[in-house]
Formats: sequence, structure tokens, C-alpha cells
Amino acid sequence: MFNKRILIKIFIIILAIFAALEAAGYYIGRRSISKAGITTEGKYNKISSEALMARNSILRQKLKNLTPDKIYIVIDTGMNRLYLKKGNMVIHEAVVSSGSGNILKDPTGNRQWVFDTPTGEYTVKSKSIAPAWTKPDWAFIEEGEEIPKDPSKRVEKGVLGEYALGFGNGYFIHGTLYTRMLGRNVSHGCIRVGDKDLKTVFTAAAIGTRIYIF
Amino acid sequence: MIIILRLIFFLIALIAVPSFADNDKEIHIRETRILEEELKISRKPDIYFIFNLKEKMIYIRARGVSLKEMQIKESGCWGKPVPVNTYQVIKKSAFVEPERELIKPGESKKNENYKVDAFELTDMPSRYTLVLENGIVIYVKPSSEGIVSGITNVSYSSVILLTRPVLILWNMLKGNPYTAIDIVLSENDARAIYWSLTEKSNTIIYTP
Repeated sequence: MFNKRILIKIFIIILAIFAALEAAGYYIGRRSISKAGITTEGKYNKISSEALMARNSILRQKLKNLTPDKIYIVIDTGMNRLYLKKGNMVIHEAVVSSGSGNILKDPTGNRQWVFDTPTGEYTVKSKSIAPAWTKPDWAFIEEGEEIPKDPSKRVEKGVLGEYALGFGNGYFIHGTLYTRMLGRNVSHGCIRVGDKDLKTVFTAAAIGTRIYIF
Repeated sequence: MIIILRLIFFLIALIAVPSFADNDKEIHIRETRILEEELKISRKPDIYFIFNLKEKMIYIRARGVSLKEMQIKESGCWGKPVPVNTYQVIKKSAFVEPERELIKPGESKKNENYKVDAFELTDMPSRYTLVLENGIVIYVKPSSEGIVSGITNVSYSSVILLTRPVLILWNMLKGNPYTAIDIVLSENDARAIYWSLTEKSNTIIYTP
């Protein structure tokens, strides 16, 4: 009976301490944020609101000027969509296949490849019709084949479709034989596009056309 | 009586006008800071994220070009105010993190029914935590759609409500900066952020 009473008392004390801590934490947490509006950046305090507004519109214009005035390409690797855009307008939309994100390890060495599509801003660096694919080492390793010493044995025709747009580091926007996989992340990092859409993108894009990938 | 009323209105105006003006100036200063920060990070070719809690929007951008815009359904902030700045993502963590498949060499040739097990958007979690520089932690969760996600959200909120005040107190006593930001998004948008945002991604946070 005595022990039970003590236990209840200890429990109540612990509960009270926890409640007090909760209340203090809650008060501090909420109070700090409500004071957020009061803090101002020192160097701007002497500038008038009108001058700040003028400065902001200049900065906004500078940012706006960064948007290409010509056609550009946006690729959403999560949704597997390619958008051909001019300004804020979408001119053409295509279902694509981007990087699978899978990992390949070289069983004979320390090399490893992660098949992600790179993100960020790129430009079209090359345009080719009826491109041939020069198979890199990983393509042989993935298929369990020996890596050839003769470079001519690496060249494979017809697998990249009718056109290819290179955007650096061996990455391309190209055609595919696996059209039923469009809309899924199955490539080795390149962007696979269906024949009809590829022709539209190839015709619209020039060397230097910007590509934004996310 | 009228004179007294006029005097009261005059006093209210005296107090109110500078405070509105200060508030306006504060908004302009914060806008200047956001634009300056964005111009700074848009010099690099990487994608970056703007969490605009004031407008309840998240923007994925590169070089100032808006690539995707997402609506924040609900948001809330706790702890130290966040100055407008660029913050790098240190870590993203989820209860169940998606795993990448390891390709077995030669498997695609041996097996005729070989299927590519892709690492896709639908594999991404919609409930996760983003740890940023300066003690900023963003808690992302999906909006409640159906009984299961509703119950999960209520349980999650209860745990947060119990642990967060203690965390705030603990960090304050240790002298560590700590700001918790709660964001509720649609399930797809939550997954899209997890997909696109990587460790070391740059973010700009604009709190209300």
C-alpha cells in the first residue's frame, strides 16, 4: 500500500516535470517564431521602402532575363516527361524514359556505375542523324560479356533510333527500340524518346539549346 | 466628447502608421534578400528549391527558370526565426528509405522474362525529414486522404506535439540553433520533392 502511494507520487511528479518542460518548450518555440517579423537586416535599414521596391524590380528583371528567349528543353525525370518550351509556354510534351537509378558493379575491379540521369542545366552539344552507339565498358559488363580490345567491336547501329542530341559526358536524348517502356525509369542515364516526339525535339533544338533536367 | 474621440483616433494612428510602415519595409527587405540569394545561386547550373511558406509554394528552379511549382497545403514553424539565406541540405531521411537495385551482370541475357526493377517516383516516401544547415529541419508529410493516412497523420502529429517542445528546450539549453518547419503536400508532390532534392541541394526558405 505504502509503495503504491510512493509510486503514484513519483509518477505525478514526473508527469508534472514533463508537463512543465512541454509548456516551456512550447512557449519558447512559438514565441521565437512570432518575433521573426521584427528582425531586419542591418544594412537595409537606412534604405527607404521606395528604394527597396525599385531595387526589387531590377532584381526580378535580372532573374527574368535568365530565362532563355529561344526554345529550351525541360525534362522531369520523376514523371518521365520532356517539355519543349518557349518562355513559359509548353510547345510540345513527350513521354520519355530516364535513368533507372540501378547500380552495376564491375566484378573484376573496383568500378561502379549508378544509372541516374544527371540533373541541372546543360546545352545541346551535338546533333546526329542515324547515330551509332559506341558501347561503354558497363554495357559489356551488364550483359556478362568480355570487354573488347578492338574499338570497332564497340560500335552498334540502330539502337539509338533515328536521331541523337548529345548534352555532354556521354549522355544523349535519343530514340529507343523499347517504346513500351516509355514513361518508366529504365535507361542508363540517357533520355529515351519515341520516334515521332524525337523528330519534333531534334528539329526544334539547335546546338546550344538549353536543357534543364530535374 | 468629440475632441476626446479625435484624440484617441490620433493616438491610434500615431501608433499604427509607423508599425504598418515597418511591416511593409520588413517585407521589402526580405524580398530583396530572397531575390539576391536566388541570383547568387542561379549562377551555378544546379537545380535549387525555394520553400516560400508565405505564398504556400515550393519552386524547383535552375538558373532562374521555374521547372516545377507545387502548392503547400499547410505549413507551420517552430523555434528560431530563419533569416533569408541559402541553406544546403545535409541529410534527407525517411522511416523506410527507397533502395536501389544492384544489377547482376549477365542476368538480362540469361533470363528471357527479365524485368527492369526501376528506382521510380512511386518508390519514394511521402513522409520524411530534411535536415538543412543552421539547425533547420523540414518535416514533410502527405495530406490525409482516406482512413489509413488520416490515422497515420494524427499519430505522427501527436508524437511531434509531444517531442518538439522538449527538442526546442534541449537545443536552446545546448545553445544550438533549431527551427522546425512542418509542410503538408499532396502525396505526389511530397514524393517529387524527395526525388529531385539531393543532399547538398541548395534551398531558400521564406517564412511568413
